[in-house]
Amino acid sequence: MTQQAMTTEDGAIPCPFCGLGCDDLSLSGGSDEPRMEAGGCPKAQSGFSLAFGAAAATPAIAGRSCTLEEALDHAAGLLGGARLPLFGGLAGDLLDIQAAVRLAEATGGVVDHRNGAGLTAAATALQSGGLMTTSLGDARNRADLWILVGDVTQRFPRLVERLLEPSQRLHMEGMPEAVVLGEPAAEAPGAALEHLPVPAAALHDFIQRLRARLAGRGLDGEPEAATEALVQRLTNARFPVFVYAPGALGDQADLVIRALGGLVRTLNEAGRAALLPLGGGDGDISAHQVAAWHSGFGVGTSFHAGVPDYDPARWSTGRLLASGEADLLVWVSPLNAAPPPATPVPTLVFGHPASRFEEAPELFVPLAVPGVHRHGVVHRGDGPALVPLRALMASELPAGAEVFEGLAARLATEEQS
Amino acid sequence: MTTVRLTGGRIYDPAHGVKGEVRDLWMRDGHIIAPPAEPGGAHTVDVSGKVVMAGAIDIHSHIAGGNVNTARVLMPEEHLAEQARYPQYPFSGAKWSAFDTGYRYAEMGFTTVVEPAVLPLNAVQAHAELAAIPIIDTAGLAILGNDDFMLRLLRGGVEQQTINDYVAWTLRATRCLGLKVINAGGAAAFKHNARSFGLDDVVPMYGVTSRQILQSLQRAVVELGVGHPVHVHCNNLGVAGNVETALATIEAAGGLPMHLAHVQFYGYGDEGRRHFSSGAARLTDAINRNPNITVDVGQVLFGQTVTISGDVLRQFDARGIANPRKWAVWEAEDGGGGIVPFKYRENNYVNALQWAIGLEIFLLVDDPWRVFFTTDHPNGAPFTRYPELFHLLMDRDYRNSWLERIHAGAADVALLRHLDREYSLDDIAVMTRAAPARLLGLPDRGHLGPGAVADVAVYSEQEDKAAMFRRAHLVYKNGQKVVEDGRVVNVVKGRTHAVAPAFDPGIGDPLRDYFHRYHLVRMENYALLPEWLPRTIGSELVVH
Repeated sequence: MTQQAMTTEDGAIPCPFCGLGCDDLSLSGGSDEPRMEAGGCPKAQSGFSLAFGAAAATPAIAGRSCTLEEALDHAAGLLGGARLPLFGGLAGDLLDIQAAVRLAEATGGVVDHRNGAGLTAAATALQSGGLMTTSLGDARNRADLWILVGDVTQRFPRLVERLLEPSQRLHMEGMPEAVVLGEPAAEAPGAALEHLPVPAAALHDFIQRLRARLAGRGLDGEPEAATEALVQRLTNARFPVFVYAPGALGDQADLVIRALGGLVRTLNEAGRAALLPLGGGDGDISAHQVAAWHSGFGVGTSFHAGVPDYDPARWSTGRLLASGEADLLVWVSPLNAAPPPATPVPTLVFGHPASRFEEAPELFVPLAVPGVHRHGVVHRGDGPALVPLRALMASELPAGAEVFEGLAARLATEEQS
Repeated sequence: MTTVRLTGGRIYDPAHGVKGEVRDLWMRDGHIIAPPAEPGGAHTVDVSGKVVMAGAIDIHSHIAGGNVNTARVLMPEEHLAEQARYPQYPFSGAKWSAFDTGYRYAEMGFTTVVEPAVLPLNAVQAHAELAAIPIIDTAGLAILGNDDFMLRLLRGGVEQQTINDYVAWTLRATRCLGLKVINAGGAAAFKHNARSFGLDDVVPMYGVTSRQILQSLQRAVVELGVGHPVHVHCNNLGVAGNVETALATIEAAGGLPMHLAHVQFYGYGDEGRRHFSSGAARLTDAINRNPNITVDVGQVLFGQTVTISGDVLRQFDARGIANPRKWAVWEAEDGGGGIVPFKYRENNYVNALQWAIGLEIFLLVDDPWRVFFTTDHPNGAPFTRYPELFHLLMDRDYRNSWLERIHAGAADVALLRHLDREYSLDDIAVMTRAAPARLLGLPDRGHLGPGAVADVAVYSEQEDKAAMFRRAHLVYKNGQKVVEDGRVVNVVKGRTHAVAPAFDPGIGDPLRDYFHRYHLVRMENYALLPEWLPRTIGSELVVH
């Protein structure tokens, strides 16, 4: 399907390449030879230029070029014979993911996202006690103290510019304070921020100590000056916000998030405070949301038994591939050109047209990149907001939804015949 | 398309004054038609002895959007499934999914359902979920009243015309059918650490009261000529003594149309030993005296549920009663929401009285055209329990048998034991068909006159009204049979309804500037263009 490009030079072009969902970009060169204007970030620059240059990719079976029809016939054959297909990656927009989840249900497969570990940590923390959260825009306007937990400035290159630096805010004069908890990355845009070095492995303990002090409880040993100072700042702040990327918090992510959640609940007994969890991009929040309204549960869900079975540990990509329980990997990744996980399991890649492979997969179908080759929509990393995506150039690349619906139709026909 | 004739059914079509008369009903090309002059070739379906009504309409049911979806994720243990309802249809094993919502409503003969809380920032997700719900038609109500732009306009003392333009712009930007106001100013006040917020409380930083916000939005809806009156979630939800708030809000409506949602949650006095009593008599007296007011009840039915609301201040306040003990509160640009699981227990005084108050409101409002069936799904109970509610209202003996089971103290003080009224099938048809269509401004449904969409439900009458309404004998959606013997037999795609009132495009300049200054989204990327939803998430939009 050829997608008509829309206007491109208005400073309101959305970027699908990270969870910040910036929509203030400008392109030049028209739809024939689009180029990103300055003002984006390295992720946007590389994301757009990679996609702009890859519009002519063709499908391939085991590395040999083929037509889309041949590719879909081949995929339908493998899907029809699979015992437990794993729909992984899911690095696409809402439309790609929705169609993939529907195909997964129709074929009795599993859905997981490449950022599944972070999504699961966030969901587990929510399910075990609940969380108080805010959004990017709300925090931008009224947070007077930012606590950046773990690596966020590197994951979201414009976070400091977009959230901490704006001069016009609601109900607030001057700039917010910001503290990074964790080991700073020297090159990241937040390198100039104040740091409180806390090793990743000690984060949970540090947050629990903060919470205890905020609740007025004594701790063993001498009070640590850094903890006490932060307690004081949290107490004085009108609206402290804790921003973190669940996927960047390591193995203890669910514990760290639960501890942060408890800290924020404590702060809200007398004042206001909130968490600001940020999805890591690649459509992970869309995957989580789409999975939830389709199945009732997040990713890490299997449809193998004819009803959704939510068990993120059991149905994780890593475990299913390592154990060999999944006998077909359907790697959906139109937003991300990185290769699928190396596995002996036959792999069908429905991916970015510039996808790189160490070894040619069983099948490669290049898809339109949402926000470059076609219209679409993706969630911003904070959840409530969605970013409408626009086609920026004419393209013959098929949309993921078109391909997955075509596959579902082929499988339905085979079943009847 | 073939002509279909339903023959021998007892028709209940209150919009045309038809009360159980045996008549034929004709459908062609998705619409009800007058009996054709030459009926040759029609497909005849014998529904002798059955009850025939238009498809039912639910005006207030939380079926889509981020708040609902987070509740699904918060409560995985509540919707585990062991068996698919319809193995041949997608996601029929996924309880509480968008798909299950469509199947379950259709089984009961519902064909149009309104999601009453669409946060503009989240409108695309709400529409994506609505588009995924099979069979039924849907619509959303857009939330305003805690948004900074609106509060700024009021603080600046702008003309009503500017408010009207902004409301119209919002309804178009969100592709919604009407306007919702949730505890006007309450979520904005909560951002400044308010813990309670009443009708005459002032929103910090803005110097405007909840009353001013509500009245200006109400007036905008009236002056824009939007079919559905402003849909109001009052202040002080769930607080003992809050019947005063409801009465003050009715007074504040000033004789202009206003819909008060889930009023059971505002029917509370603070009398008696437990400082919690029924305010149903006072509330319904005010409703009866003010013909500009419509209400839905938000009936409580006993059991586990989860409350989902955009009233972030009240939901935060309710955190202590979460059962199981977990809850979520989220805030965003211009609003927020809260999710608090709850179990209504029949042996709990307050819960039992809530149950009785809801029924009292149903039975004490004289005019069935002004009181609507809701459980505020899922806040009072899941929508799947409507049939039990119909049974309670249609059968006094059944209702009285419940008075023996609930908390004795609540049963003693409730008015309910003195109320003998029983709803008739005609009442049910008014309250679930004719009146909702009129209230929503959807003249093509809720009745069985020629030209109406052929959304038709056929029921087998029986003593057990719950059984009768739980599984419709037949349901047609746009003239296509979708349910037979209470089972979905055909999955069609529903449509989404919206309005598009005209406004002065000059409002775009201050809005664009506002978004530029304070939002992380450009105005151009916030407002949904008419062609965009159909082109992306595939909504079939019908603009009224």
